[in-house]
Amino acid sequence: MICLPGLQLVFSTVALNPVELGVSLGLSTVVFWAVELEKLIKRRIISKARAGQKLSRPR
Amino acid sequence: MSDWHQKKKEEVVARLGSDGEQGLSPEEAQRRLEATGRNELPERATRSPLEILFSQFTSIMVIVLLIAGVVSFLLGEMVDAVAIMAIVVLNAGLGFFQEFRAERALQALKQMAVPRVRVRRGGTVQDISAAEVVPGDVVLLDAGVKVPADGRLLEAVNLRVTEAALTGESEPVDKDADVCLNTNTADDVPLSERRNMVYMGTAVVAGRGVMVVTETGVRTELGKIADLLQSAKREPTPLQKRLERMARELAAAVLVIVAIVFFLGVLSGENYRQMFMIAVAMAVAAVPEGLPAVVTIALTLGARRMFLRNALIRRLNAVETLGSVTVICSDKTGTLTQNQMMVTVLDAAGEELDLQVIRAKKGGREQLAAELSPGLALLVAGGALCNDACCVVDDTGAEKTMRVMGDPTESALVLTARELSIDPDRLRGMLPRVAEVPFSSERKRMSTIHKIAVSEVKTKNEELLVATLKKVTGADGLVLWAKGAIDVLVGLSGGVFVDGRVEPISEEWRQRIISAQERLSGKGIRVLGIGFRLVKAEELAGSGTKEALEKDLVFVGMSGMIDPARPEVKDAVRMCREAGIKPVMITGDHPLTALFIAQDIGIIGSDDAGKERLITGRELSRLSVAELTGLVDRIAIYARVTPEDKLAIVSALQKRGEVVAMTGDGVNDAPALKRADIGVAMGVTGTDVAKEAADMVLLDDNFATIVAAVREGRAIYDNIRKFIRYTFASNVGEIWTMIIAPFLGLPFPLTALQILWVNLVTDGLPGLALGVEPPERDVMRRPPRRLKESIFAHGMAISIIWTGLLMALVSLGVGLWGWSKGSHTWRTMLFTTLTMAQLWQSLALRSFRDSVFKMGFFTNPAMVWTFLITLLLQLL
Repeated sequence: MICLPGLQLVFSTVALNPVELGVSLGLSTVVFWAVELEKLIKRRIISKARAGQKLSRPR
Repeated sequence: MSDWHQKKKEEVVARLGSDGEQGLSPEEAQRRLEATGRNELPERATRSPLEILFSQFTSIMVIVLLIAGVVSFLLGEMVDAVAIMAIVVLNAGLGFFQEFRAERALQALKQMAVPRVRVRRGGTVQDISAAEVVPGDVVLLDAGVKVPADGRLLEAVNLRVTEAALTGESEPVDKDADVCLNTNTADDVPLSERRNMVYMGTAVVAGRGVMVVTETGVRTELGKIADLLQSAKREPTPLQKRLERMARELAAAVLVIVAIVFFLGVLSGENYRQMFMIAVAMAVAAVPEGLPAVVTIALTLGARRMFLRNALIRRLNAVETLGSVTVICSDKTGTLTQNQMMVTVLDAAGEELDLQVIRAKKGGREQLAAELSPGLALLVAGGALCNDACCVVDDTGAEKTMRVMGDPTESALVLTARELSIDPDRLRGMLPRVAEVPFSSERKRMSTIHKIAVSEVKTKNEELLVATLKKVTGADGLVLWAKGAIDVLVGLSGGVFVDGRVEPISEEWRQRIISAQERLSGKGIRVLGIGFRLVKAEELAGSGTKEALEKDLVFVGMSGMIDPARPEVKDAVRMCREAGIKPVMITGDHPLTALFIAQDIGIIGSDDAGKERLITGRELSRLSVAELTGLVDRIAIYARVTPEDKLAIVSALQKRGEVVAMTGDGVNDAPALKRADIGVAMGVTGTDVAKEAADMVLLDDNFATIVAAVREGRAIYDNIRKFIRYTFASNVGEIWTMIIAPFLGLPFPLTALQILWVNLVTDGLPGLALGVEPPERDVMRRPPRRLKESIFAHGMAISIIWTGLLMALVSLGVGLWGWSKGSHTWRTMLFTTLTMAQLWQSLALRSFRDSVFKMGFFTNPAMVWTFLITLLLQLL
């Protein structure tokens, strides 16, 4: 898509230098980390809720 | 020819070139099958490959793209025109491939659901697919069977048939093979009154009969009206309906937004040609066109996975509803239990052997085969001898197994003897039967008289048995074995076998025996006693009835047996519990038996006040509808109930807002199966009528299979939600990018073709990979999803908006950085970041809860391939 001349023509892309490519690929993972963080927070909330339940309901 | 009902049955058989006793020869049947074709009605509901291909080009998105392609061509933008066409073709190809696969899976499932019928061919009774029935076949009918073709009855015993499918009359019709409806009048006898005929699509509700097939396939009466019946369209599931509506509303909203963007762009001086392309691309980007199709595919492929786990889905709705099930009402016998009696306790004169405990132990088998006491040896031998079950050694398989044919109780006794290393066949050789007094329910006992002809013995226990017998009998003569209810046998006994010898039976012994029996019965165990008596040859030859020999018995002991729970059911019940699903047992059996099994498998806790959670059919019939509704969520066991009660139970549960799965196999289970949210029919023991009424058929009749299907159903719904979150967040990200860019002072950041590419990536491969994600770890540890729950529930809408926004901001940030440097590469950087961000997102969305690091990156191979292929395409 960004290296082959034919595809460059169709998709109006140009070759990226290593730094540019690195920045693009690196920052594209931000969403991944954010979703992982969301899941982590969810897990924390759930385990806290479960622990709370256990305390409030002796049995 | 449709005057079959006017002819005598012999004449009909002759005209069809068949034979009522022998049936057709297999060769003739094969020849006729080729000549007349399969006994099937044309299915309008299935789609041909061409139709599927055509449907790919009817969606709004494709039409918009085609218009855009034509416009580009007219504007002279050849590259754009070709690229758009390529995308349309690629998209249609992918869609076609997926839907074709789903359609084929659905067809295969349908094929599996074709009922089997019993026919006489070449003088033997065979089980064949209903589709292979030909004119002239002699078909056996009994209660619950769906009539596979039109036919003239040759025999009918109390045969009653519902012809609702054909005549609309729901009341069953009595059939009679011997009438001959000769019509001299001008009017023929109407279909509904042809009592000597049965028709395809109708169902036998009672009695039995034999018919010779007159017409098959489209030539049947049902075939003639099949066009009317088949015109009903395939019904979309509730989820599909909701999503289709949502997609339409979204499309309308998007078109408005896109129009605004177009005019804003043109007003701010952008090239209108370019703006047109961008507007089209945005519209295509924002509409989740692939959604309904992906849902269909996910449901269909899910149904196929369920089939691999022995759950045959008859209606696609069921896949979706399964995930919401809150109560599973299951028959006991055969579904929760093995439908096979098994001796669990042996009690010989106070010496008790709990076989279940020993069987469960390691090395238990060896221990069971080890030496017995004389009393136990007599008990086991008596049970196996006074017995009409016969053993068949089945050595067709790799391992030699023994099958026992006959009454389940008697089979259990034979199997126990074998388990305790007293070979039933050798036993019968040692003690051949010479006379018998058969069982009757009035007498509650049976006796057999055997000659003692000891030949060879092989095992220690056999040796012991022979020694004991010799000691008691004095080596020759005859021995009578009696088997029956304990109270009867004790009443007939004059002695009891204790510590290897016969003692007179005292009152104390009688009490001990009766109380032992009561203790076992109290646990739901069925108890049979064994006694014996020496018989002199003269006695047998004497004039008295043989029944008179059943006296002065020596009581040996008793065998307790149950129909044990299927081993996998315990886990399945526990899984239900954790998943917030209530398992309920329904049985026609005795309350105590029901209670014992329910405790064994955990439907009720052993410390539970079990009796309060059990209700019998008699109590049930006294309750009003309102009372039952008030009580129903407390009850876990219904004992001594009839299939008719099931309907009341389902209705009461549904009034409480429960989503009910209900099992059944008989004709009279059908109404309850229809009423239940998920009707579950038994594949092995179930009748055609039950299967037809059901949403799902268990090919192994196993309760655990229902639970496995629920788990699969939940996983499928999860995966659909994952796909929706993924595709919506991606689309939102694309739109945010386009809308925010001008505010940052950037020109339009993406070209039309770039947007189309990003969109293809989102709706394409990663979405499909999410669809085959295995079930999540906690899938059976959360409560059932409410039926009416929104697909965006649990904060998914918010997640979609922020993930999309973040995706747009990151991509724009990267672009802005390039732009501020004055580099001409900024667009490509932004484009790459956006595509890759979506790909990464699909990876993170593989689970709603677990971290991908915990799940492992390679646990879904489809996702690994998707990731690599898309990455390669992007960077190439």
